[in-house]
Amino acid sequence: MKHYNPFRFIACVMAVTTLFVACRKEPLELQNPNTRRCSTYFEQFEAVWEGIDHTYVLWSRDTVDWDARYEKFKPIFESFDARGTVDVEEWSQAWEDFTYGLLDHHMYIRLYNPKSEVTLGLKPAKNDYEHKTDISAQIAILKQQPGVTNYVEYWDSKNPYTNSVACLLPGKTTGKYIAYLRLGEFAISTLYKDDTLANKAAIEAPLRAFYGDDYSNGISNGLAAREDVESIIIDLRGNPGGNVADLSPAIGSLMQTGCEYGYSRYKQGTGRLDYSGWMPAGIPLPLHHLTKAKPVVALTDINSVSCAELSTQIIKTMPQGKVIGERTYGGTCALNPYTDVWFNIYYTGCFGDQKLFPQPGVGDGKPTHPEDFAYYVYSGTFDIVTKDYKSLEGVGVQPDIKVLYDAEALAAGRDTQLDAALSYLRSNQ
Amino acid sequence: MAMGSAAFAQDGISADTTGGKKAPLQTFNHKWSVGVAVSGNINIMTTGTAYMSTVTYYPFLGTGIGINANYRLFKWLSFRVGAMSLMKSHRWENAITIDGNTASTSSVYENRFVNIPVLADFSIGKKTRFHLFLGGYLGYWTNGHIIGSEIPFLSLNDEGVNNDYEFDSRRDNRFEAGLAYGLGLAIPLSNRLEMDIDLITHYGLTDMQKKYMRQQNPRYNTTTMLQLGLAYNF
Repeated sequence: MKHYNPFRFIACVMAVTTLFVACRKEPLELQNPNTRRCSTYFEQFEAVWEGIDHTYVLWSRDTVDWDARYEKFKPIFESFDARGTVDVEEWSQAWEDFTYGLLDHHMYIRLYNPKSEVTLGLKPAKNDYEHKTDISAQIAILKQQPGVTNYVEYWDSKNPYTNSVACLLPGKTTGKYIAYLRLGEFAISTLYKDDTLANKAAIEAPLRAFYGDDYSNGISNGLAAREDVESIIIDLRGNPGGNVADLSPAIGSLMQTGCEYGYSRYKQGTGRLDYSGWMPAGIPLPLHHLTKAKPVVALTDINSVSCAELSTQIIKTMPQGKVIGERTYGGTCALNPYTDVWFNIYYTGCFGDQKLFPQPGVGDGKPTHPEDFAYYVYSGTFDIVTKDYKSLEGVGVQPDIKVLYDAEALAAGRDTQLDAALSYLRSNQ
Repeated sequence: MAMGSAAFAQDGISADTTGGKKAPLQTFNHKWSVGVAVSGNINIMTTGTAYMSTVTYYPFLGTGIGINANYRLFKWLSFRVGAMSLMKSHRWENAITIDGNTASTSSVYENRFVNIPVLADFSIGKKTRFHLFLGGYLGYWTNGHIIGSEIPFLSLNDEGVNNDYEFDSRRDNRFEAGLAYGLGLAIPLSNRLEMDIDLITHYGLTDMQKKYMRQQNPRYNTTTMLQLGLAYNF
């Protein structure tokens, strides 16, 4: 019988083992998309591709084949460099085609072409339904409503964050009212703290009228709190969103308890599908709020975006809440445009250096680094879903009572969406 | 079987080699053994963080339980096959600075695997025996859970994260394979029963993710476990 040498046997096994240990792949070395500088067409393309590749929060449901886009457009952008200069239209079209159809409805991409001294802005997500909201016409019709009273308005089309309208409209019962509020944007807390506004009292007046003097803390002594107000309309049509911190005073104050409306998560690694766990998303009850539930209608349209959509979703989940009008826009991620803060915390969302772009009004208006192919990507940081983990991105909040925007009726002095809301609240519901 | 018997004969081992004296406890006289084991482990998930300078993946502790069977080929060599359920966890931490204050947010990923190690077991010693294990393992990622103290950005309160890990068939490679190696000590308690103390590492060679993107950071588990077992020889 042959004698086996155990040490020779062990040595062989260990040698094979060592070979296997070397089989692990090395980690990638990636450039930070927030600080990367580009000096060619291709570098700019690659920086944006990589940035979106590693930081985009909606990869779990986006259907764009991002690797295929890279393979398709890499030679195109390389050819731009080989040619030296490129027609602006051709360059713009390449970018349009390269980013087309990404799901994030907040996403906005800015690109600077130093060879042509042109800045390009792109919105990759597309909605199959769109219109402009004629807010002026809607406000004019509101003012003419029979029995309108306590009407307070501040509307400056150049500065929408300051805008709001409040009033009372006749309710279902004689002597009772519907309190109406239209918010230009969600900027209540910002406005409350802003002491630089010369006409602050006029700007605040509708908010003070509807919520009360301490409006940044919810409903105190305003119209909404009055005993003779039996129901409420929050008009979010054309509202582009704003500060999520405003959800609590603006919408949470209509409730009697805090509200958990869904979950949020963000990216945690460089992998497209590296996510944090789902965190409960909700709004706390503000200092001042209604002590008795009142029916609430959210008036919405396709231009109700972001925070306006979260507000709509929250109202929809309220037992006495109803959404009337159109589906909302479908841009439901939360984000912060300032890349020097949030990107460095979450490594997701907006990236790029806006300071590398030409800045009108700053110095001579030329870019600080004129040779740089600057880029900036405005994109969501937090993916938000409903309580049953349904995403509203690209879909929006569906109305309970659908009333499409009717431009012809508006031109003729009828706001069919407002009419539907009033008729609902004046009916037996 | 015949091969095993021949090997024992060649090594000069038989059931009674003591000449009538009280036999020392020598469990290696037996060809087969089966055992159970419990373990505590530390798992390292190796991956790249690239430019995420404040992010660190830390090792995390876990536990396991398993069964195994040994077949002795020679006095110095046997083969062990087992099945064990064990946690391979890691902690993700982002040490962030907000308004000049350092804060951190972290999540513990508790991943449970079923591993099947197949080991060559080299051993020496007369009574208490020292073991060297070399081999490989196959694993299956059965489930996961995430517990985290996340930044309560949109949260109603500071509940953080506490939910089951959602497998994504595009991303997660639930099968794992790798090397298994370690050292052990077998202390006979009787002629048939022995206590095993093993320090064994499962070194993953397969990425925890499928190849689903062009630029992908790999993820590998390395689990080192201290295993306490009881084996019955027959």
